[in-house]
Amino acid sequence: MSCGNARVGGILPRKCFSGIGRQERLSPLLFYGKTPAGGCLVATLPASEKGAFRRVERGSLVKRRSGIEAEGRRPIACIIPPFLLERMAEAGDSAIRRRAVVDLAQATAVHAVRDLVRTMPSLLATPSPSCCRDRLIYDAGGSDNLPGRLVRREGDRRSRDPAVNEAYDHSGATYDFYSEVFGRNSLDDAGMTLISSVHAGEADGEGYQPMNNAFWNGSQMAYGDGDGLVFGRFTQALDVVAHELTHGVQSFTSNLVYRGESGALNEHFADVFGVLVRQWSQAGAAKRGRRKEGTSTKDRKATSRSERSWLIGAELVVPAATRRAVRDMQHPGTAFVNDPLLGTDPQPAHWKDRYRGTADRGGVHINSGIANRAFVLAAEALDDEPWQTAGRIWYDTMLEIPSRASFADAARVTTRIARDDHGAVAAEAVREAWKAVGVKVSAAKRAAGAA
Amino acid sequence: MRRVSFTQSGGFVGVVHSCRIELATLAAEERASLEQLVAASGLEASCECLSESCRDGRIYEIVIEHETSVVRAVFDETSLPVAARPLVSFLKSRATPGLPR
Repeated sequence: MSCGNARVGGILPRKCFSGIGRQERLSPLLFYGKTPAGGCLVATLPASEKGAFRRVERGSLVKRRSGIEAEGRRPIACIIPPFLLERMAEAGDSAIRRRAVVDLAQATAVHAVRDLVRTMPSLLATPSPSCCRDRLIYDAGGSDNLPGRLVRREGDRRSRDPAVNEAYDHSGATYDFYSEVFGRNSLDDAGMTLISSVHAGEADGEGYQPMNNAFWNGSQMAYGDGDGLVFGRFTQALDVVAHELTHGVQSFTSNLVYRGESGALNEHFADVFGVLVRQWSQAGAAKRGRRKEGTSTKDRKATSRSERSWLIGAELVVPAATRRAVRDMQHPGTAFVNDPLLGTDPQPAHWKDRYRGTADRGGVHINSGIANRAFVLAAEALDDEPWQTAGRIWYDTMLEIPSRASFADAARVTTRIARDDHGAVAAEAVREAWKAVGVKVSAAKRAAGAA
Repeated sequence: MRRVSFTQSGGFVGVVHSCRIELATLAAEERASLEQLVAASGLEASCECLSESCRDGRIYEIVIEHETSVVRAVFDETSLPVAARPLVSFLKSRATPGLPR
């Protein structure tokens, strides 16, 4: 599945349905299959099939959908309400009508995959042919048609396009981090291919412009080139790439619901492993440099506390006096201040100051600052590299925490794992870190966590 | 139509940009242009259409206040209808950092 105008059919092939349940051919664009549990699956064929467009424009799609509903089944809860797109599909302007019909089919499919992603994320994974590190880099050509044109495969020589090489190198570094530090084989721990699209664009009604964002769409990463005013290429920053890939890891593990506290934890874990991949990679480069100089590495830590950076996206932002990164995990709320284009970093550093509004799905990118600070405090209190004890505790937590977890749940699980696997000192460091940001682990809750 | 409010949030960066446009304060030509964009967007009833699998997608909330009714539509960049993109583009160009004031 992919975002925007991308098609879904290539990732949910027809054969998926045969092993799941009954299938019905609805239209040239939509396929519907019932699952044994009573759910449903929908996939589309490529929207470029002109014949399909003509048939849909004559109304077959709408009629057939109505037919399903008339049978008393609710096949899908449309991502865009039917009244809206169906009205647009009947518009007098043929261009609007055509695009609305395409959106109707695509958005329907996107939303129908939602439950599938939760329960069967492996269906969206592209398996690596070698079951180990495998990267595919596509060029979206400035459009939102993902993935785009394949420009570099695993093992291919470097491209002339820096964005292609950055996506390739940084997704490789992220794979290596998870493999070497945690023994994890790609996002799904089964060798899933890492797919990236660079030069993604966004439509504004008149055409496309470079996307000022990066996202994980459920099966691949997409990176824009930035506006050049505030942000450069989103592939430039290793922590950004590792952040997006960690969303992928989460989709195969805790799959934290992307709203409210659980959504803020989802963002938190993505930031934690984004920054750890960068720190680990920098430490590796530093060690290699010291070996080259003939200096012993035995008695030296890869990074000292004062050298560590807890900034996210420092390489992404165009330098200015009012901004130095996208987020500061150590000092949330200070990454940018009174910036004319960004405003002031909204992240709180303490639970009492948490965002309570509805924007940003209940502040998933805002309240993550609270948990980010807790992680930094715990990591700094432990006498090793952040990806070792603290990183291991957080990684194990990411694997087992429930999808609707709260901050209190995260505090409880991290503290329990610290105590059980790393001892009393680690447990105390983690508990104190959460306490410092206003999230306490009560004795009763600790007992429940231990149970 | 009396007022149109817009909030963009989310995205990798997570910053909020917003604007609130009182139609009475607009020049006649600009007002007509905005009314045309709203009409062409097809946003006639409230809805919230957010992808469950997309992470770091930007979120657009559009609130259209009429004399007797209010329409609140929420999309992300994977679900934003093609017909509503010109309206969002217009509103983005007027948005400034922070929540609507």
